[in-house]
Amino acid sequence: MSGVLPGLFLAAIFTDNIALTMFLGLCPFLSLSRNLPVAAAMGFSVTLVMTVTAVMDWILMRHFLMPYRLEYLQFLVFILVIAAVTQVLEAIIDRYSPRIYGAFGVFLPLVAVNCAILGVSLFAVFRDYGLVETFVYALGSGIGWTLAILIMSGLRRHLVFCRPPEALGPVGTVMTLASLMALAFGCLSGLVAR
Amino acid sequence: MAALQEILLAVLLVEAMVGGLCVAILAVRHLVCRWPNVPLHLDGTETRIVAGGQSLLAAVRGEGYLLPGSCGGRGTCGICRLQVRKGGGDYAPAEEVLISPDDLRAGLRLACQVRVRGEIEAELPADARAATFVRSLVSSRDPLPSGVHRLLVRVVEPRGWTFAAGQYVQLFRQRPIPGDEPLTRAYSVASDPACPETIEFHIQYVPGGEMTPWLCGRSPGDELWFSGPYGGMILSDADAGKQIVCVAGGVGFAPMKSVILSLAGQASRQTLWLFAGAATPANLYDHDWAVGMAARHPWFVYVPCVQALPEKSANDSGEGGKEFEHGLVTDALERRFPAGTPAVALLCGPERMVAAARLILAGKGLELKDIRADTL
Repeated sequence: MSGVLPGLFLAAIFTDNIALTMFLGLCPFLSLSRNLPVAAAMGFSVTLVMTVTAVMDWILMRHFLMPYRLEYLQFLVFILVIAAVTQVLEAIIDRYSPRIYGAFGVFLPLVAVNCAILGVSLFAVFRDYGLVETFVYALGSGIGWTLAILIMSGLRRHLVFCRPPEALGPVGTVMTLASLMALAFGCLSGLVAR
Repeated sequence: MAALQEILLAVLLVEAMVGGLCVAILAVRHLVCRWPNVPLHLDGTETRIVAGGQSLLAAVRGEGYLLPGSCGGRGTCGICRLQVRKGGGDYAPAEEVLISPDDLRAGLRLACQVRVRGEIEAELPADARAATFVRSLVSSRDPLPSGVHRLLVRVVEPRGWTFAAGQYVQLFRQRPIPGDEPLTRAYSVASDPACPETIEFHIQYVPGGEMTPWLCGRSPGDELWFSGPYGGMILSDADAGKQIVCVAGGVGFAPMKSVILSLAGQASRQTLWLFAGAATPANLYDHDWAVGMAARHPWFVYVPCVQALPEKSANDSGEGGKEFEHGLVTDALERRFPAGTPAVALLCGPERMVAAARLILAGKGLELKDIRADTL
C-alpha cells in the first residue's frame, strides 16, 4: 500500500485537483484570490480543515455509521463535523492571529460551506480508501486547492497590466482565467498513475 | 421493531454527535480563548483592569460609562465612536465604511469593533461620561397624520436631569440591566431644555421595525427608560453673534424645535434660519407651530420645503403651496441662505441630506467646526 501513497498524493494535487478538475470550492477560490497573503491563509485553513475532517469523517463512517448500517446519515454527520472543526479553527485563529482573523472577515465561517471539504470526505468513502490513504488524499487535495488559489491570485495580480475584453467584466475575466487554468491542469492527466 | 430500533439508533447517534461536538467547541473556547485581564486607560486619568477578549464597547459599558450605540454592537450605526490612542489592533471593515480615512488615521474607532486584547488607551467622549440612565413615565402620545408620533414623557429619576438643546438620548425597549446588550435607538429631544422634566420625542413609525411599533404602542403611565444626553450638535457661548442655520429632514426637525424653544426663552436674538424638508406638506408635521413662532419672533426665519406641492382644490384661493419652497431642502438652502454670513449650522436628517448641506454650507464660507450634524 505504501507504494500507492505518493501517487495518490500527487494525483490529488495535480491530476485530480479538487478545484480545477472537480470544480469544487469555487466560491472562495474566485472571491478570495484577489490578495496573495489572504489566498495563502485561506488555502492553509482549507487544507487544515479538509485533512482533519476527512480523517474524523472516515473514523465516524467506519466505526459508527457502517456497523449500524446508518450510511445514509453520512451527509448530515460530515457536515456537522465540518461545521464544528471550522468553529474550533475560527476560535484558534482569533486567539493567536487576530490579523489573519480580521483579513478573513466573513470568509472564515464560510469554510464550513466549502463544498470541496465535504467532497473530499465523500470521495474518500466512495473510493473505499483506508485511514492513511484518506489522510494522504485529503492533505494532497488541500495542497492542490491551495496551489490553485495561489496561482489564481498570482495571475490576478498581472491583470493590472493587461486589458481583458470589457464585455467580460471582472467576473467573466476571472472565470476565463479559471477555465484556462483547468485546461492547463487537464494536460497533466496521465502523468501520475493512481 | 427493527425499523424502530434503527430510527432510535440513528437519532441517538446524531444527538450524541451534536452533543459531543458542542462540548468539544466549548472546551476549545474555554481553553484557547482565554484572554488575560488587561489595563484600560481612560482619558489618561484613570486605569481600569478589564477582562480581555470582549469588545471595547462592552468593556467601557462594564465600567459604568454609557457609551451610546443603537445596533447592538454589530457595527452598523456608527454611534459608539471614541478616540483610541494606543492599542486596539487593525481596523475592522465596518470602521472603514463608517469612519472617514482622516478620522481613522487620527485614531477614531468604533468601540464595538475594537477587541480588547492588550493594553488600550482610549478617550471617552465627554457626553458618555456625563450620561446617566433615566426613568420616565409616558404622559401622552399623539399620532400625527404623517406617520410621526409625538411622545411626551415625564422624567421621574434622576431628579435634576438636564440636557442641552439639540442633544439626543437612547431609548430602551426594556429596563436596562448592566452588562446586558439592550435594544436601543437614538432619538433627539424636541422640547425646551428650560423644562427638562418634560421631554418630547418625535417618532417616525417604521412598519415591521424592532423599536418604533413598540414605542408607538406606549400609552400614558407606561414606563420608558433612556440614557443620555448625548451629542455635540449644540450651541455654545462662542457661537454668540453668529447667525444659526438649521437644516432638518423629516423627524430631524425634533432637535431644531428644541433649539428654537431654547432661543425663544433667552435674551440673545441671533437670527435663526430653519430649512425644514419633507416629501409633502402633510409630512411637515409641526408646520403650524413653526409658522406661529415665525410670526411672533422676527429673528426666526422659517423656510418649509416640500418635494410634492399640494393639489389645488376647488375651494383653494390659488395661494395653495405658495408658502412652501418646492424641491429638496438643500436646493432651498442653496437659493435662500446668503453666502459669506458668519453662521453656525446644525444639520439633522438623512445621511445624504446632511452630506449635501455640509458641502453647500462649506461653499458659502462656513468653517467646518461650525457645521454640526446628526444623521438619522
